[in-house]
Parts: sequence; C-alpha cells; structure tokens
Amino acid sequence: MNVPESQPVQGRGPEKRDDAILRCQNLVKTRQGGPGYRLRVDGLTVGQGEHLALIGDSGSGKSTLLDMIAMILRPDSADDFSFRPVGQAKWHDLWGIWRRGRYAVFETLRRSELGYIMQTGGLLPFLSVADNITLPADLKPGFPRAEKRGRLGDLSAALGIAHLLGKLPSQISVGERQRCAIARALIHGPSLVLADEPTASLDPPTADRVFALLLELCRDSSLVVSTHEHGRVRTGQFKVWRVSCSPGQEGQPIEARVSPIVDLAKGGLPPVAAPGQGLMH
Amino acid sequence: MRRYRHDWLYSFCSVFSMIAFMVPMLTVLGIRDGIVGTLTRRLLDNPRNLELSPIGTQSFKPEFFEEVAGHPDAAFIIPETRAISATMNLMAEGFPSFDGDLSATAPGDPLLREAYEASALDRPLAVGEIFVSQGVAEKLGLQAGSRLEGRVGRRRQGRDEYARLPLEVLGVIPRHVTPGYNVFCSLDLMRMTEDYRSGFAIPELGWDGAERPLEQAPFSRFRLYSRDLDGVERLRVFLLDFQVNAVTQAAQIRLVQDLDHSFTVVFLALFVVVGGGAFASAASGAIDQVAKMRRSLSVLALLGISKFRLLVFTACQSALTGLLATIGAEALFLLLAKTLNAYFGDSLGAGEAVCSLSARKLAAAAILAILFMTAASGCAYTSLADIEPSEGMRDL
Repeated sequence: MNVPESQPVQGRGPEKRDDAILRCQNLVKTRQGGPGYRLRVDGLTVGQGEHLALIGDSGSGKSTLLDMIAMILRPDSADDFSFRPVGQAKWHDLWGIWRRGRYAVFETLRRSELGYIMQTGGLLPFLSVADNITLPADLKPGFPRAEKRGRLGDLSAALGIAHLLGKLPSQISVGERQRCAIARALIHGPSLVLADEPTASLDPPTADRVFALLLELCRDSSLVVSTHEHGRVRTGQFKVWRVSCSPGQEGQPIEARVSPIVDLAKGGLPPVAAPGQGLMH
Repeated sequence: MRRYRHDWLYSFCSVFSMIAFMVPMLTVLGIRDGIVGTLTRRLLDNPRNLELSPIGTQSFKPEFFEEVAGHPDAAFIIPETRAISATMNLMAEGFPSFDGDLSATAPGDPLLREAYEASALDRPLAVGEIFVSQGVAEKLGLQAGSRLEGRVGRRRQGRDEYARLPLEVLGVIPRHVTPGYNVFCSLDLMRMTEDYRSGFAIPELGWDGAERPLEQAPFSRFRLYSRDLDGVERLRVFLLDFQVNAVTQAAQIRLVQDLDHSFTVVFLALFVVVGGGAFASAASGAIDQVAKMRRSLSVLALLGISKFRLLVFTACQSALTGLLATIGAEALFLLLAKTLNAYFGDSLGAGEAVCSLSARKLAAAAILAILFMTAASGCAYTSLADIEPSEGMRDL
C-alpha cells in the first residue's frame, strides 16, 4: 500500500482533558541496527472509554508504541508520559518511573490496570483456559473471588468459549485462543486494554467476529488497538492514528511519526498539511 | 507446579539425569568413607598399630621403663621376659595340650582394653588369672570363666621338671587384636615362670628349686603403646636414644593414609569431570527450558509478575528437580550400599562397612544437589534476564 507521508504535527501537546488516562508528549524511542529507527510521538492522549486505533504498515512501530504504553519498553525520552488509572486522581509519571528504575510500580500497574491482547493469544500452555483467563484476576490484589467467577461466566458466555474452559490452549483453535485472550485481558476490569494486531493471525471471517467481540466487550473501556488491516477500522468506532515511516537522510535513522487521521472514509488518507502547520482535528 | 506437571517428560528426564549423576558420586564417596573409615577404625581400634616393640633381645632396667613411660606420647608400657622362656604349656580336659606364647599385661593395656572392660576388671591380674587369644580359646574350647592347667617345664641337673598351675580364663581376645596363640598373665607370673626356668624355686606357687637372688634380672623385651598414630614415629625416634630399634606398623598406617588420599583424589577428579558434565547438561537443559518458556515468562511479565518472582518460579522448579533427584538418588544409594555391605559382609566386623555415608553427608549432598540445580537454572535465567520483556513476546 502506497500511503503518502502524513506531515508531522509540530509543537502539538497532548490535549488537556479531565477524562484522560494516558498522556504522551514528545515520546521518543530509537532502535539500533541497520540504518537505525526512531519513533516519535508528538502528542497523544487516550481518554476514558475512548477507542484508539494505531494503523501503519508492518514494522512501522505500532508495537513499539504499544509496548511503551504497556510499560514493558523503555522510551528514550519524553516530555510527558503519564498514566492515570480510572477513578484515581493521581497521575503516574511513567517516564519518571523508568528513569528511577522503580519497576515494581509498573508491575503493580500492569497487574491491576492493563489488559493486553497479543497477536497470538499468549495463553500459558500449562494452564487450562479457565485458569488462563482468571490469572489476572488472581494477580490483582484484593480482587473478589465471587466477582472473578461472575466475570468469567459472563465473558466466556459472551465470547462463546464457555465450553472450552476446562481445556488446555493446545486443544483449541487459534480463533478460540484469541477469544480467550480477550477474556483474559478484560477479566480484572483494567483501566486500559491494549491489543496488538489481535486479529492478524486469524482467517478473515473469524477475524471479523473476534474484532467485533472485542469492540462489543470494550464498550465501556479504553482501548488501544494496533493493526495493519486498515479496512477493519471504522471512523465511527475509533479515533485513528497513523504510524508512518520516512526513510532518513544518508546515515540518519528512519523516522517514524505518530499522528492522527481525521477521515478514514477517504481511503484512509489524511489531508496533506503544509509543513509547520497544525492538523485540524 | 502445574507447569512442572505439564512438562512431566522433561522433568522426569532431568530428575533421572540428575539421579544418574548423583548415584555414582554418592557411591564413590560412600566407598571412600566406608573403606577408609573401616580401615582407619581398624587401625585405631587395633592397638597393635600403636605398638612399638624392640627388635632382638636387650636388657632393660626399671629406670628405662620409668623414663619411657614419662614420654608424652607413651600411653602404656609393660616389660616382657625373654621370648624363649615366655611360653606355657596349656592343658584343658578333652583337648590336646600345646604351648601358648606368654605375655604380661596390666590394667591400661591398650591391647586388652576391651577384654578388661568386658570382664569388668579394674585391678591387676592375680597370678592364676589369664586372658587368652581367640586362637588359644578355639584350640582348647575355652571361654570366659573356663579353667585349665598351665605347665612350665625346665631341665635341671639332667632331669625334665614341670611346675603346674591352675589357671582361670577371664576373657578371650578377638583375632583381629591378637592373631596368634597368646596367653596374657600378670607380670608377676611371667617373672615367676622365667625364674623357674632359670632353676629357681617359687615358694608362692610351691615350685621348688634354687633360692632366688635378691636382685632381679633385667627384662629383655617390652610392649610400648603410643597415644595416637602420629606418636608412633616420635616414640620410635625417642627409643633410638637408648640404642633400641623398635618395630612399628608404620607401613600399615601409611597404607591407609595413602588410600584415603587416593580415594579423595579419585573422588574429586570424578566430581570435577562428571560434575562439570552434569552441570553443563543440567544448565543446557534449563536453558532449553527457559528458551521454550521464554514466551510464557514474557506473558507472565506482561501480566505484571516481577522478574524476581519469575526467577523464583524457575528456581523453584529446579530446586524441585534437585529435591526429587536427591530422594531418588539417595534411596538408590542406600539400596546399593546395603547390597555392597551384604556382599562383603563376611570380611566385615560389626559396625564396619564397605560403603556408607553419614546422615550429615547425605543431607549435605541433598543441599548441594538442590543448590546445583538452582545454580544451573540461575545460569539459564541470566540468559533471559537481560532480554527486555517486550522482546520475548513476539519472537516465537
């Protein structure tokens, strides 16, 4: 797919919103090797209950951004990179935590506030489906047992996997595994659900079903989905951001920029803005 | 734990490879401890090895005995008479008579320590009381409490004469202490038989002959015992000052010490070679496991489980392997040791073993095995620890 470059948004800060749960400003991550690679997020905010889609070609850096949001990848620098769990007043300065090396905070946040759906399910092969799904609830401090059972019942019914609970992941199909992964990401009621190419390994009809289920179950949750299947993302359901790469100059790393797209309906192409001019949102 | 069950085949194999390593190690160590322990104990148990006796016949005055007894390494010394006169003809009813070798003894005699203890005797022997060696006891059908007759012969003025003396057996000395045909009596009796043989009368026993001179003849031999194995050599050198060449069991002592040393070297060499191999194989197995589990570990990290807990998680699995292997290996070892000891049982005394390990050593082996496996998995884990958690996830 030949997509023209979206223009960088200069000096654009994260939106100051009361319902925001995640803020990134001038978040930068470089990777060594080859010509090198540099991902830059000028300004990105995720609001409570907001659905955000990151689109871009494979290798453009969607997963890199997602991993930083998931607090498992250290950024190089950031002016602001903060997370505020739903219902809490206090912002966690993620960049500060990385700098100070207080990884235990991340572990706590990951346990309690994040749900992560991997491209290939990421179920633990030695636990049953039910145990896989309830694992985050078991790990979340103080999560009530009864609620765990209730949510397991609701989620597995909604996802159509109730009959698989006693099986091992190796005994079920890829699509079923992905549905289990969705249940696992949601069981503990996280503030933010992250999904990295959740349907990439599924055949198209299954992918459609799983994607629809994900959206349906995340009605009230904040969700960030990365996908290279641009067609699956509808403007009405998502705020769409594009991760796009431009080859760097000789000896310079490849630059990747993350910027919003207004109108997906027009072939997913963002309006071309003049350099230095802010994009209208 | 559940992961452990899931990978039961691998776990089974690692437990067994660990057992395969531990059993030979334990066995070599057990044989070393068993044989060397048994030999050392025999050396120490057998006072013969602490004994020094003069080569040939000399004259030893009482001052000599006092001086030697004062040496810090000397545990016990007792004079003996000329070998030629130190025999006694023994007669018990129903058995053919024969000549036993006569030696003097006194309380504190290391050679007869057990015999003294067994007979609960804490005073010098009376003239008619004797201990006999197992050889004598078997020839004459004797046991503690048996009575017999001793005969001492001499040739005086062309006639053969005999003096008779009733004797009582106080105890039998086992063959490993005195392998010959020995009779142990009081120094007095020994002296009397010598005097009688020299033609003198012994009025106390009603033996007739010439009147005994006032001055006693010097003793011609002695038995000297060192306090410990190391003292034997020092005493030997000390005796040289008196122009006395002494026979010792130095060669035997050296043999056991050499054996101990060789076994230790063999064990260490085996341990290094086999242990190194086992460690490499355990570590490579663990690295394989961690590599296979890398994805799972990444997922667990993503779910918010700290690296430390993951490390504990993998270490616990390895420790469990070590524990199971230890239980298996030590059970096998005990079985093997029992079989070996039963097989060689004929040549072993009570409490002796060809192959044995103390409970403390077994416990140490268990702890070592668990540490060993944990270290192996630690090695494997470090290969994982420097990976950023985000990496493992998508690799497989």
